[in-house]
Amino acid sequence: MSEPHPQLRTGADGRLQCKSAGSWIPVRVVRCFPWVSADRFFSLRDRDGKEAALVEQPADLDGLSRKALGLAVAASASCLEIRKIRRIGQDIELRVWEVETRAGGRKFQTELDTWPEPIPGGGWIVRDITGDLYRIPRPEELDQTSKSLLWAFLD
Amino acid sequence: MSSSTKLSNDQSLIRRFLDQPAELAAPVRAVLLAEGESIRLYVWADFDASLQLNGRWVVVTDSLVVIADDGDASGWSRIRREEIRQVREDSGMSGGWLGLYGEEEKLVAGFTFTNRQKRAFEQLRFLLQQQLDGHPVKPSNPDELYAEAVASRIRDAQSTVAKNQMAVIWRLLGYFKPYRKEVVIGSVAAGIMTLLNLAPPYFTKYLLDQVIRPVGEGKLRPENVVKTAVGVIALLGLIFVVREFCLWLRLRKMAFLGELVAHDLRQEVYAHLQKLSLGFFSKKQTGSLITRVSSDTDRLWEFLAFGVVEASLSVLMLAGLGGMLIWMDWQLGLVMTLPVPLFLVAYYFHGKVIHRRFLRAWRKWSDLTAVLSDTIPGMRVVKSFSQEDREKARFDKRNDIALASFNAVHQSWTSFWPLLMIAFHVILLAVWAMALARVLGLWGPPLTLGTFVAFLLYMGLFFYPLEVIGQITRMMNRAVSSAHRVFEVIDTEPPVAESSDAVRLDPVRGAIRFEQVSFSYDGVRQILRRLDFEIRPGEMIGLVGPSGAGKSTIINLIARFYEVSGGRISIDGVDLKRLDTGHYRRQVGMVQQEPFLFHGTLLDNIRYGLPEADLSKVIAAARAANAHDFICRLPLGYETVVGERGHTLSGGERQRISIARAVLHDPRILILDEATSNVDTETERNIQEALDRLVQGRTVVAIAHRLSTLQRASRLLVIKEGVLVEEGTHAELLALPAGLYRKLHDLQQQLHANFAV
Repeated sequence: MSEPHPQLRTGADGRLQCKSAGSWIPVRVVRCFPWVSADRFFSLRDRDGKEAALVEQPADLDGLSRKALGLAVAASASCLEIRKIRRIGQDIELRVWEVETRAGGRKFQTELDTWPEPIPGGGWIVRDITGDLYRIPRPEELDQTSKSLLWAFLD
Repeated sequence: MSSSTKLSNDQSLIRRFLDQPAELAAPVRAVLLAEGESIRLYVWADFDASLQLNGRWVVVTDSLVVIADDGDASGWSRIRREEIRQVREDSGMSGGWLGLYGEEEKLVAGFTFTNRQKRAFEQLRFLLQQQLDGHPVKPSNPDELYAEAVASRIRDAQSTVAKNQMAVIWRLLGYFKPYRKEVVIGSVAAGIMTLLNLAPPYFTKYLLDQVIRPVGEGKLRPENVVKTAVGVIALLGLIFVVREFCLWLRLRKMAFLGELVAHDLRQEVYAHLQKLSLGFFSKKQTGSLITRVSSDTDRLWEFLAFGVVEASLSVLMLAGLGGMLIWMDWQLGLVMTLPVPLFLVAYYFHGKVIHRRFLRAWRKWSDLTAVLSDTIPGMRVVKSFSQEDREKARFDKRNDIALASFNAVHQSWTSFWPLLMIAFHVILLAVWAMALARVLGLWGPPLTLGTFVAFLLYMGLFFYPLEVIGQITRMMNRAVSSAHRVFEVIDTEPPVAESSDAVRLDPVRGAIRFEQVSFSYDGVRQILRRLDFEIRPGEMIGLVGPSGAGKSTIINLIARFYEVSGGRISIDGVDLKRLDTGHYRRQVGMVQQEPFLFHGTLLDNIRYGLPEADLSKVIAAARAANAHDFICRLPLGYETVVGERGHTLSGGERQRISIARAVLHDPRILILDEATSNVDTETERNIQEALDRLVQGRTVVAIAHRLSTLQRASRLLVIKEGVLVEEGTHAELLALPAGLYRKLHDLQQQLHANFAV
């Protein structure tokens, strides 16, 4: 028997809340499969890290809940998306990236033996030394300079 | 490294690598200071409300949390700290969120940030939470905290202290200082050798023009010919002898010199490693540290012994050749020397292409080795799921891709070099054509046969120095990278400063006193808070508490692996900071959860602290540790080799060897850190028996996960969140119905009962 669909809302503080045992509790959303199935399977965790609900299919939720979930996912379960590569250089044991993301310009570093990784469903992900993730969804659509700079790193 | 140097290094890393400010904006600081606020901490919230990278400052003063952007101070948000009732933090996939809540769970401020700022935000959350919990903290150096939190990941990853390449090279060359004489002899020999290389073609020219041609033309008498020829050949012979002697001298001096410098560096790095804190070793991977002492110093040897000299000589050779050619015939000389910059440019661009291709090949190679490091340790799983064919196919596929990538590298250089040689030969042909026309008198000013031949010989010398100069950048980059890694170790300051009038307690009686001891690893998060307790000589004290309570920190402080942040620890009434660390540690013994055995015999391992100990004492120690019997069952007894590539001992056996080591060491203060947690019940009983003998007559501080093992302790100290919450014997603490010890004890009993069922 499948679990009942949870009721969700955006709280006054802008954070996602889930109705549990008759009261609204703040939850954070975790994508179970961030690349393989980014639009399904969301685990909602309460403040102690316990699962308050599992949303397998957002389409099953009511309209308000779906909207609240969408906002929360956009805020916390996404990463910076690279639109242009300005430079990929090297500086003693670090690879230095200067990129343009949807959120603005960014300079970050990876270790020399950390490579971009292909993600299921297309695109590549770069993880910098602090754990920040940078996604290149469609490398083939980048400009020529970016593609040329990325040549050694993607295929 | 002093605090100000560290701050300056961290700030320079931020400026160099990150697109965010290295310190609080001056206008923000000025406004807050003018308002009489004391700044305690600040962070950079790099996302704005619409998740764009538009950063703003969040500054915590004694009374306010101020959110400041580039705008006018009147537009900044100011929240009184006393209004904050709750601090919540959420982590996302690539960043986090921190919310400050007031009365009735009303959000008063929320910040979204990337992982880069996470550590700084954790400090912010901790600071505010401490106030809410009634333990306010007031960090005194907000600049240092911010810079450290943001730059530490770069520093850890880069293993460097952010200096420019030339500064590193100069520092490296400074290691030549003790060997000045050898450096001068080696360099002069190398210089002479290089210049002498220019001589044979010139003498060839002389012989052709001044001897052979005049003889052919009948202008020279035979007796003069023989005299001149013998003279030139003798001179050439002398040049060859001197050149070979200089070559021998140069190789000998520089090879030895490079080896000596590498030896000194290795010695300095290893000696310094022994002084560094355990924190340093936990941050660095063992492999990386081993590389610094071995391969990095080796690479520096190569650079110092040959790289520096080869590069300088090539420049000297090229300049000498160019000068010689132009001096002999300026027209032909210019034909040869003018293309040199083009060759260097070609080298440069070829280097870039090769680098890109090599990078790609390196990535493919990493993919290939990743399969190996996955499957070889996990072979049992591969076999049990019958996945051999799949793994073989995975490896084969990656192997093919790696092959293709490396072939692309080879394709690049195998195309470049023939092209370069063709270009070089075109120049040679041009020289030939021009020179022949002039020798035969068909064109231009006349050219002697000797000059022509000398030119041909000089041209043959042109290529090698060009190639070396083309490699200089790559060679320097590799050396600087190694030097950085080596210097990082040397520049890391030991955390425990030795007092100039260090006291030796001989022997230590074992009275330990904690007076208002506070401790923090990062300057913000208080692990121990104003801890007060006393341990009398000969007492056995059990430290109890949940994970993260601060138990391990207490024993680390007793062993003086770290210095207290506040308060004082005294041993036999003397401040621990005043004790001679080495002498004190020789009287402190530790039995750890994961006993470590060095590669060597069991005898060597037991005698590690006392290499001269008598064999009968070794046996007595092993007996006391319940180790003697199993050792004697081994074919080579105490001389069984253990450790890497040696005999494999079980966890319980290794633990008993480490107890024997401690028994033989006979410490006055004994620290038992979860000594029986990883073994079965029977082994635990054996170890417990050994420990019971070991603890007799000394001060013992023990941490044990299984509370039952601490029942014999004189007293138990119950620690929670860095504070001493209960103290007493096992029975006394069990008698406290709402006590933490009682709760932990009951939980364990319940767990035990459930498993017993």
